Amino acid sequence: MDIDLIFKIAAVGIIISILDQVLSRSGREEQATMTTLAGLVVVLMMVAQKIAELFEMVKGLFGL
Amino acid sequence: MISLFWKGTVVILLAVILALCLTKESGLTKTILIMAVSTMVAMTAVSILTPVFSFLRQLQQITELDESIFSIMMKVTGIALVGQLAALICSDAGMTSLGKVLDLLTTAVIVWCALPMLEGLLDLIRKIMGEI
Repeated sequence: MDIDLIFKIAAVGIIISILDQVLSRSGREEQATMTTLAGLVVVLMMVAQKIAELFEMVKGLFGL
Repeated sequence: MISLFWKGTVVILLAVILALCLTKESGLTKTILIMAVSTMVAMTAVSILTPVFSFLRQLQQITELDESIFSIMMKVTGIALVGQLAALICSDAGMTSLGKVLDLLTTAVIVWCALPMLEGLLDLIRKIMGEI
């Protein structure tokens, strides 16, 4: 079980929320949105690989 | 295997704490975190189930159960597992209607997969009725 992945996602989430707050308070709403989107894409890419692995595993085991 | 159970429990509890730490601004990250943890724990559960399924296959060979029936049962189990997991994630993300639709889709696919078995049952009933 890859526990590091959970910490990575949580860390990215916390960093995104801090950056979002900082940029929003300094009046850079557009940059805050872009930062949030970039973080989400990074996290989503990490998770997508795991989901693909799960699907392959289930496909192999259950003969789908 | 027992150690995997403890590990999985700890990981889930840790993920709950981390998800609670994520503020309202990163609600989407929270959902992705839940998805990642669910996927990892489901993968662990599937890997634990592998010897169980090989045992079931052994039983199928011993009892000379039809391979097609066994494969249908396996397929249905797999589809139900993935569908249920995805529907629960949808519900957790606050999209209950999507979760319900996914449940419906899963049920439809399961019924479609089980159709040959139902046809076999119908033929059997017809045969019995014909004999009477």
